Amino acid sequence: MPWRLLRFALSNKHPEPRMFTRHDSLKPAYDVVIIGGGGHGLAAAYYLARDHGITNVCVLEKGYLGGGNTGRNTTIIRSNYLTPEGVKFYDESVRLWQDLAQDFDLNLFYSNRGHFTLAHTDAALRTSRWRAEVNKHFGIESEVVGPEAVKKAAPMIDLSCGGHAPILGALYHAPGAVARHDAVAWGYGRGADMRGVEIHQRTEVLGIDVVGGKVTGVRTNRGNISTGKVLCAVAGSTPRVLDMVGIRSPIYVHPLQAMVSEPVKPWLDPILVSGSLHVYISQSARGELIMGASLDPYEVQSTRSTFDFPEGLSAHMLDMFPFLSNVKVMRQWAGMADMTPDFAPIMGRTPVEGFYLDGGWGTWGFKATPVCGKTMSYTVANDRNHDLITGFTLDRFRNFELTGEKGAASVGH
Amino acid sequence: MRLPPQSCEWVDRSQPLGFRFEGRDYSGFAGDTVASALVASGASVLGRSFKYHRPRGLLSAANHDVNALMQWGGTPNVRADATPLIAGMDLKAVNTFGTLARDPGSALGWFSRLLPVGFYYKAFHNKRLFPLWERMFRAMTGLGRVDFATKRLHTPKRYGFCDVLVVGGGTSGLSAALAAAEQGAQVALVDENARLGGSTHGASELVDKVIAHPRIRVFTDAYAAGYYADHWVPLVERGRITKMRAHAVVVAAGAFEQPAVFRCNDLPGIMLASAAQRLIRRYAVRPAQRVVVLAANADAYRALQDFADAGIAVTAVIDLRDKVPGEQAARVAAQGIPLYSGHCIVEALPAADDKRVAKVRVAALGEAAVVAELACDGVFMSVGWAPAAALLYQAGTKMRYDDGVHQFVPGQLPDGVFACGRVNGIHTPESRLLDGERAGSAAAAYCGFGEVRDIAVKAEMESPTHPWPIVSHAKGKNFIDFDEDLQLADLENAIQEGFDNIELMKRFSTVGMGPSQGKHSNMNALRVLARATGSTPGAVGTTTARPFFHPVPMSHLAGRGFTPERRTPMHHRHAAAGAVWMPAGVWQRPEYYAVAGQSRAACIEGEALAVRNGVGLIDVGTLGKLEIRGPQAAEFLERVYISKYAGLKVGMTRYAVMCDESGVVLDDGVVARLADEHFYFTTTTSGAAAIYRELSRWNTLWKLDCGIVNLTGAMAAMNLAGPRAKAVLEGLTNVDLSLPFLAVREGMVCGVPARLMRVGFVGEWGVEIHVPAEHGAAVWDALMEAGKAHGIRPFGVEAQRLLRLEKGHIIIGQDTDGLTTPGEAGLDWAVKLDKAFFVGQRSLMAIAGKPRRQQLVGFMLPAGHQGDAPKECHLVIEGGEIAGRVTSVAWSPSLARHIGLAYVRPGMDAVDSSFTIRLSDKSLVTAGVVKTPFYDPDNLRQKETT
Amino acid sequence: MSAITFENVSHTPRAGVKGPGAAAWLAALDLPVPRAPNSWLPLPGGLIARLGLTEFLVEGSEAAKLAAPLAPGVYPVLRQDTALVLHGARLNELLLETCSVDFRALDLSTRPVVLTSMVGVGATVIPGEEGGMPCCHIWCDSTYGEWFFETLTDVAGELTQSSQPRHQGATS
Repeated sequence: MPWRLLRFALSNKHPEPRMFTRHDSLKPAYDVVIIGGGGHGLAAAYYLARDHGITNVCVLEKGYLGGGNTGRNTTIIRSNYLTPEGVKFYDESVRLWQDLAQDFDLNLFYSNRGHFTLAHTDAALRTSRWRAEVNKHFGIESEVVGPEAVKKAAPMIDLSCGGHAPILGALYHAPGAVARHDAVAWGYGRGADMRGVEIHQRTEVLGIDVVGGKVTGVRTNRGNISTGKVLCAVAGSTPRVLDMVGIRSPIYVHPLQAMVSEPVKPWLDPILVSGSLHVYISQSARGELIMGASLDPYEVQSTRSTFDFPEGLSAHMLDMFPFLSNVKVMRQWAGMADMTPDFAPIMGRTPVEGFYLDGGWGTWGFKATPVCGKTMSYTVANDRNHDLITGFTLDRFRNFELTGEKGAASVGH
Repeated sequence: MRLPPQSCEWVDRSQPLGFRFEGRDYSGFAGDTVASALVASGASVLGRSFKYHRPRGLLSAANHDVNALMQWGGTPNVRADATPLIAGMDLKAVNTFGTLARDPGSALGWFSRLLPVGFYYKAFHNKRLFPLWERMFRAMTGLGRVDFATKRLHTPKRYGFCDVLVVGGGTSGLSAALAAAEQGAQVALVDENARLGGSTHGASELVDKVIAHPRIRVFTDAYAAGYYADHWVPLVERGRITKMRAHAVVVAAGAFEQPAVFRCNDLPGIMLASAAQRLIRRYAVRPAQRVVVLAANADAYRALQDFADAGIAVTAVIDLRDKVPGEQAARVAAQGIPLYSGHCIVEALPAADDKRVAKVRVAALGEAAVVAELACDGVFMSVGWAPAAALLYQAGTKMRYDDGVHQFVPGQLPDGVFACGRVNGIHTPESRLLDGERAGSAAAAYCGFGEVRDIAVKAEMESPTHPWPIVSHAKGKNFIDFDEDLQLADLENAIQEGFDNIELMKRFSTVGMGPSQGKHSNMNALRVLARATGSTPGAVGTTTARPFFHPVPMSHLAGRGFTPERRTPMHHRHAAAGAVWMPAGVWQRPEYYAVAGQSRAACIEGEALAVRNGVGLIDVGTLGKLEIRGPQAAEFLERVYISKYAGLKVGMTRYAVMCDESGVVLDDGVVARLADEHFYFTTTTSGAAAIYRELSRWNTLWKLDCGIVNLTGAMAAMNLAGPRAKAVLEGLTNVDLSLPFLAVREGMVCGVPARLMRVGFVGEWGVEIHVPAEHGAAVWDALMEAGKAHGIRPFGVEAQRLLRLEKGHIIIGQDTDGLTTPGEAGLDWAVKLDKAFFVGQRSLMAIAGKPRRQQLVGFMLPAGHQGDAPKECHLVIEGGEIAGRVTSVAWSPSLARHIGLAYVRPGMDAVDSSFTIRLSDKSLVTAGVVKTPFYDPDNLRQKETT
Repeated sequence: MSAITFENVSHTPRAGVKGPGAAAWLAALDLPVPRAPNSWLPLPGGLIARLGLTEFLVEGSEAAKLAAPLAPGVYPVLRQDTALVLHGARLNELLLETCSVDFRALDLSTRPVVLTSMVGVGATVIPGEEGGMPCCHIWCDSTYGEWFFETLTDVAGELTQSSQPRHQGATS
């Protein structure tokens, strides 16, 4: 029973305290400076404070809390990736998700729906089987199912997809879930804030001081900070921040768009992703259909909307669900996806001492928010890459040791 | 109630229309909207609100009335205030539990104290119980209902072009359109209403002039969905979308009249003054009998005339302003209407037995004491406007807050974008006319038509918008957002909880996130935030304006949804032969040819055996085919492929593998040298387009003396293979069929010029025959005819897969993935690191010094293997760890064994060793490593020279 | 007469050539060479079109000339197009529904050639006028040809059947 709500009812004043303390100015120094106040940055701050006792931390966010990709993604959480490194990593994240709302005492609407990656070609079925086998090996629920299982979970689907691309089967991942993305940022933010972390919004980093290969400070539009540890968690802005410390990375940025329908009565339970049609759909707790597709096919650091996106997405969506013809699209938006050549992230220590990177999150970042916070906080606290992220180092590209997630990441978000 | 005929009314009384709403019969006229017909019939409750299920009526009659969403059969979320009435409509309110009249959901209102802003974040997250709560939320959420029986609607889209696009057909838009057209521009004018004219409701000379003008194309009943780069604006009409490309855009979209915020400001009968005017003038509907007018601007006083004309008794005018301009006060006095200046409505109350407003309580601004209780059955609010500036924001306009008119106005407009009228902060009718002229002239001049005319427009003398039309009340129910049922306290609480910037406040409270996307709520919310944080509206700013202006049906966005298909010239031959199709990108290829009474597996086996023992013919026309000529053609190929081609003899072919810069295998094919400076080469089906693009890009950089031509669609190709193939071909060609293995010849086949390549993909004597596409079908026919005597069979992709597997040949993308390097795939022999340069060389050199991660090997299952065989991508398990995976596997009828290819760890690849494969049911299968080719290991059959 | 007629001229003889030496080579064969990129010139019984900067399409009996010996920087392009000629009063509406190019803004006297895509397929289009009505000549890869033709005739059919409501003041 939601006793909390009774408390509201019986009190005259709104009893809730501020979630995020407002700080009038930056301190001259912090033990750790985190650039980026999205889910990842805030999660790292949270675990630094909670698990490592490091609270003299500031999170610098150039816009508003959670205003980057955290507030723009389509909220899919899953662990059915392709490589052992990926699977173990995302599985740990899914484990952390289970109790996150309780940790925060904040409802994240974490909803376990089941996730189908539809296969329309035999090549896709093969990749599905590969993922299923790797997942099962590590104890993660994944299996290849036939079209009848898809039909059972979504009886109203047109299995022939308008006759163009019949569904041959799917990779079914029972733990697939969705959550309220903003709330995750708020939960981590409040938790960090409560423990003494300072969150500074509207604070833009203009430069990072590196002396003798070590970080010594950060310059912002609200003043300069000296620090020995900087964590960069800025997604699409990663190339720009890396420039500040002279690090090259293979990250390239493409826009990623999404759209949402008017609210309708719930009819879709599972999360559906189509590799061939390059579209995915789920239905939120508000009854809105959240839909997305693949990246815009060119590099641009922009969050602008284009019209061909909802056109193409709608055409493919109506292939699968023709009855959505008279459902209306309310809004479209975009974020910037920081992509890597192997569709796996770039995490951990860098050639600059004291500068830690959490980037290259492409289209796979939201689901990793908790495990990112956990592993990056460990890494920053100990100046040692956490075991779970050793497959994601920056130097893997130089060493030709890529972590090949291309079969599992693109489109399946 | 329906009024006597109004001049220029939009209804056609000669066409009465009957319809049903919530099970009751009503009638209206052609030209009514659903809402106007209902209000004309006396209905005041049109829907229930989303959260509290409070009865709601009409608010704007301007397509913002989300509380009047209806279900029309299988169509959800029909907007009653903007949908034309059609005879026989049968409508229901959305999201009611029970009926509109009796909705038990309204009990939620009693619990509103338990449901403050963000309440659902504070509770219901007990891990065990959440699924239960979620079911409850899902039962309550959502508005209309989808109908799975709805058929796919095809609403064709089209493009449109103009010089100047004017968005909005009110006074300033009409004026802008005329000015631009007069200067010679082709103008498109779009307005979402059924008629032009805006608040003049269509009755004006201006409208007539615009309609008559030969250079103005009018789109009514259409709206601009958004602004996209380069002045691209989709116009959403009732039946389709016109994608309009303009050279300049004039945004004359007007402004949304804003509601006042006071306790129970949502009661049916309380509406915007402009809504009442629309009902009266357009539909001849009187929405109330005795009203209180809540005013704060000149518009309110102009409206009084409309109310008087409609026979509406105005009980009183409550003006938020202390000082009401003399001219306005005089109007009120002349009609004997009491004026309460410096006062506000603090509360509205319904009648005891009805849901409609019955009286309002009035107090002096800022004071709690009620000074009057006025009986009424309607309240018309005219307290201010918020600009309809979404398109301006999307175009990149820098807006600024103007304290003179208390609204955001354009500060800095991008090139080619112009604004006029209310959206530009100009509200007085005469000024709007001039402002439109100014903007239209400037837009036309921008496009090269005429000169910019210097037209001065007076700034507004008084503000048309009150900066704080908001009254607090201890008992709440003073709504800011009617879509989301958000009260003033909700926003104040959200701010207090730390969601104190405009985006966070929106996301936490959901203000502006409903279907009307904040048209009536964003401005007031912004004001609340500014006041609560000691800031100003200009500093607080607005949330990101994104398309669409109104929600757009998916059918309109999808349009016809073109899905191009490619077919080889022999397509119909395959169909006639019983081909079962499989998609290969945009191509269709025969998977196999169905034979009556035979299973798929049997058909495939039969095709494969025909090739092994007789002769088969396969259409390989989907392969990429490229031609390169020039003195540096060989040099080019040296650079893009990993093997050597400079020394390839004229008349010979060579297998070709392409890698990317990181040394990953991208594609494979065959290179044929037709002359010193002339090569013809193939790529995989899926790689063709991308490879041609990439090669063109490389040559743009390298500038080698050679030219590349893409012949993929221009050439048909087929592979004739088997021990009888030569016999079939003999007599059909002038090419000497004793040509050596891997040779290429140009000659005639069946009377047409052809290129023949003796290849070995399937492991029998075979030639790949390439002819111009127009001859493909004829050559196919001739070969099939000649082959009849030899039992020729067409064979498809699956048979070919099996045949090539028996020879141990890899398929790119199946036996390789996004990270496979040549060595891992057994292609070390093809890598010539001693070349001067090739794409990927540097990476392969670096990789050569590293331990290999995996190795592709051939394997066989033991003879007489019982039970399931492994499938592709089943894992190789060693010591409990993943040690590799199967990439190809099949039952070989020629060898009577299961054969396959698999990646294993280095060290596990010794011939005659064995490894374990795990099936999906966790059972294990032992496989033995064997050398490839499995079949005809010395390749005698494909190389035979007799 | 609101029908749009489709004529399949795929079998008209045609040949293509490209490369830095192509323009000079064609001139040496006594063929008129369009000067501007994306423009065309008439030939007896056909035309010569410049596609971009250095590629040419020759159609009609003159195409046989392209069998001449090549020169440096001259690369033959085998043409196996599906070629259609569309004609009719409502052709412009068909184009508006299938292609994003503003054909009516083109000055036909400059003989423009448009390299674009129609209904999702790469197409070369030469707009024109015949008998007072718009016409256009379209070439596309013949492997797309069947689908292309079916789709365009479907769209044309819907157009000529439908009665779209006329807009106030419509002049187009």
